[in-house]
Amino acid sequence: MRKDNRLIFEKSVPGRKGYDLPKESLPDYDLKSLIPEEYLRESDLNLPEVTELDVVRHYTNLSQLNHSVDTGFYPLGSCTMKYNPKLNDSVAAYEGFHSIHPYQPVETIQGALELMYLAQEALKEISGMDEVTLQPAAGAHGEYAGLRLIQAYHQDRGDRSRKTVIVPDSAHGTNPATAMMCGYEVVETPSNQNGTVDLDAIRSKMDDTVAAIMLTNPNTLGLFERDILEIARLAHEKGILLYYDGANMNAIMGVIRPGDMGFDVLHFNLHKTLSTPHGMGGPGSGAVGVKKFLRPYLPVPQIGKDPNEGSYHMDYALPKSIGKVRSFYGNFNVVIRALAYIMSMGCDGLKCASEMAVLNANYLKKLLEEDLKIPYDGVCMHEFVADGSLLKQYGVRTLDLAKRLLDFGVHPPTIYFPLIVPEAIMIEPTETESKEELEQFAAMIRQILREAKTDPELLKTSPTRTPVRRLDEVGATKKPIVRYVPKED
Amino acid sequence: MSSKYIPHVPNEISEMLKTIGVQSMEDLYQDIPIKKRTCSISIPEGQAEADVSRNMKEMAQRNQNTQDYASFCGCGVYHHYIPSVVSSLANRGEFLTAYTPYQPEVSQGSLQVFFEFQTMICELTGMDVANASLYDGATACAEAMLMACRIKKRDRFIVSELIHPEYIQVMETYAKGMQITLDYLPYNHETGETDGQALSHMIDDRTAGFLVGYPNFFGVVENLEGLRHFGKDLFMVVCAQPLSLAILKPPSRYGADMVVGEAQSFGCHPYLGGMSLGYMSSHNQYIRQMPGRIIGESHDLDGNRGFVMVLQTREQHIRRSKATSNICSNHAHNALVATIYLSLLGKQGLRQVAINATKKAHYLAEKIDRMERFRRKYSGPFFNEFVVESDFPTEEIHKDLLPQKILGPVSLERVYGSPSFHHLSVFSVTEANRLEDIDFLAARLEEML
Repeated sequence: MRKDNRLIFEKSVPGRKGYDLPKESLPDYDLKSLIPEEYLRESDLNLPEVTELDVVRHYTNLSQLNHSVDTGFYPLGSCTMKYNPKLNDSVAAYEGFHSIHPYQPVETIQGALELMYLAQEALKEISGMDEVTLQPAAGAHGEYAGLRLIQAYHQDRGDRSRKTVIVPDSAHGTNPATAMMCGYEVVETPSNQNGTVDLDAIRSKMDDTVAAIMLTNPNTLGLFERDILEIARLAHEKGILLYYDGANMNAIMGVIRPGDMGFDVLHFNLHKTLSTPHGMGGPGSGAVGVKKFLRPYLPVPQIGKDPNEGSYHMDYALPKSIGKVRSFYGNFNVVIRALAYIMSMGCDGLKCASEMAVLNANYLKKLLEEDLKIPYDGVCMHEFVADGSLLKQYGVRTLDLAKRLLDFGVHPPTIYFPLIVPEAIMIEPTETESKEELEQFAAMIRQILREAKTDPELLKTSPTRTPVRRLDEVGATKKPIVRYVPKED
Repeated sequence: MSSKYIPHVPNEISEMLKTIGVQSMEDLYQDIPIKKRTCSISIPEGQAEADVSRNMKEMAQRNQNTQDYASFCGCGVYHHYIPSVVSSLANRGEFLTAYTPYQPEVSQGSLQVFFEFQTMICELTGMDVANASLYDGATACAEAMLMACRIKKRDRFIVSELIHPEYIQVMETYAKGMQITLDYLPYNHETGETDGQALSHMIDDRTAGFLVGYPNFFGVVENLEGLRHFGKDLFMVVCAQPLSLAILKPPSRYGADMVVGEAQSFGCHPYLGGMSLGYMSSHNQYIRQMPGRIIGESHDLDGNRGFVMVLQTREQHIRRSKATSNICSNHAHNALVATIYLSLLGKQGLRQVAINATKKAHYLAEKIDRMERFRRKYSGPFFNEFVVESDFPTEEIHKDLLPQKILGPVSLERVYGSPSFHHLSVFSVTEANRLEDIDFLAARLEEML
């Protein structure tokens, strides 16, 4: 249990400081002579007053309350919590990368533009697309850019009847939310008994009011959409474009490319597939790839290479561009890491990563299939989903199993997603975990299932070995306290 | 193929395949159509760490950077001195390699950091609630526009022409998607302030709100009181450079409904504009309309204080197409960086950094005011940057300054992509600019032929 759970504000002592500034003789201006007095702050700014050591201890201690890939197994389905190589962080920390300004003359940032160009080229190859933009800041942001590109394409052709986007019932929540932000109606299409998109159902929804179909392949159940080529053919026949949600690309690098499956637009999650750290929820990068016919609509600027001079430039001359989706050129600090990973792994390494991710998922599924209900037969890709409803007979739920796992020092899988599996437990081990790690995890699950029979209370009251026990999330939402307010004396 | 990032040795692979009950990896990929499989992707073979490191260094060295050069570039991205403690703490693997705090019992580190971040943003802006970050200043402005239109149930929004042009471009993208009409509020070409009076003529019953900068894109500190007066029934959004709020009155004092912006200044390296940190703050009454993650205080079964994500039913993973936004990943790690930076600088330090930037910027401005071929363009009060009109194109200035190891100023012609900003540039100064560099810059400008 934590001994000191004070906020940094509660450690503040007036007069202490954790900074210094160079000694220099600044001009003797009165601030009021520079900025009108009525504009100047009167009240104190209640930031903490603490020493450097206070800050170091405070945040070091806080960090130790976190579970992370660096500290333990993290089989969080759909999130690809693979190892994040330290090399990527070190190269991203080069001064020549971190201390460059977006509006420096382009001739002074040729190395950075080359890096972005190389990243684009590699991503094109991996995905089978013709053009890539690195601008989107996250997966959902990539979806946004991608759907806007599709929208721009239809509108440019004078095709204004397309008002809907088809999304499977197993889709990530970002898909329908993104469609909504682009002004589309969402049409949900069901999965069949095999856990893949129901071909007849989706075919019946394809007409000239549909702008796009958003698919994840493998889908969120970890199953490859076997009908993908047929879906693509049918969609294109009706003038519908196919969007690939790249969240699950870790299963297929070097094996099959979304571009070859018939997808017109996709986003990558560099923070999943290409090993950049998740950083407690971001920044990620949602680079978007498109087929050639969508190039005119890409956000500006596009990073290009001058074939004659070998220099790199930023191209703003795209009159049909959707404009910009964020300021500047994307999360460059993330792109550096992703390229370092691509350079380290190479073509064979990326393929090996996907293969071992798939091998690990199938192995773990095999180890658990007698203990947990696996609703879909056959092989899986890089993840699989179990149905935890068998726990109910003991009066416990998937949530309790997840909380109990915390006591064993591993992060639980994603739970209650996808929505089409009751009490879902979504497990993605990733390729960087060893056979022993998977076996240990399977043993933990088995132990917890035994405990569910013999001592369900143990599950319901878990975790007990974590820095805090279960927290009141409902109460916290009813009357939200979202900032610290100093106590009145 | 073997990689130090992949643990499997050949006999383990065989054992695992055997346990699964298949012959080969091919069998695991049986659902994938054979005719579309890739033979190989055409990217180079993998390299050893030492080689990747060297090749990356070579690219890094071909960038002239603000550590080696005195920089006067600003316009939304600023160079500051970043204390060593910031990267030393932020790069701890427990922070860097954790994901979204979906399991609060093992995420108290992240959650408490975000709660502290939200508190710091509220302190600076004077607002009641802040979220745990957005991507950048531009998307923060766009999300604020959407939120204003949701709250007011209207479909027009007014943006000052003196908002960062890239932010306006992003707002235009988002407005188009939701069929919101953007109107542009002009500015006074003498003072460089947004024209408040024009606001009163632009409002109709479809107008939800307006957005102004503080300071604005030209560096001028806007008269928020006047703007509030002319737009009194509108949802007022202020895009504030948060460092300036260490010395300026918080926008809450002028009745802002929302304060948003870019907090890269707080310990984040410029990274070509990539290490951005969007922030968003508002009043309690609007919390349920806010996008993005929000962290709240709670307690565990033993009554110990702890933190959790609150109001998740606003978010896409619960509400899907009815969510307040599609945002999932945010810029959490950059928020950690800002929180550590603000803790170190603290009450006095941040104010001192802001004062030093103001004084040094005015020191440079005074020198420029004495030059014949350079003049300050606008008369309004400014914080740490200002627009200068010169007798030469900005490219000429760069050509002269670069060999002297000076970067900047930012060319407005380039940023706006328009010849009407010919010969205009923005000089930006922070606490990290040494006085001798400012003197040297001024001397060079004087000597330009």
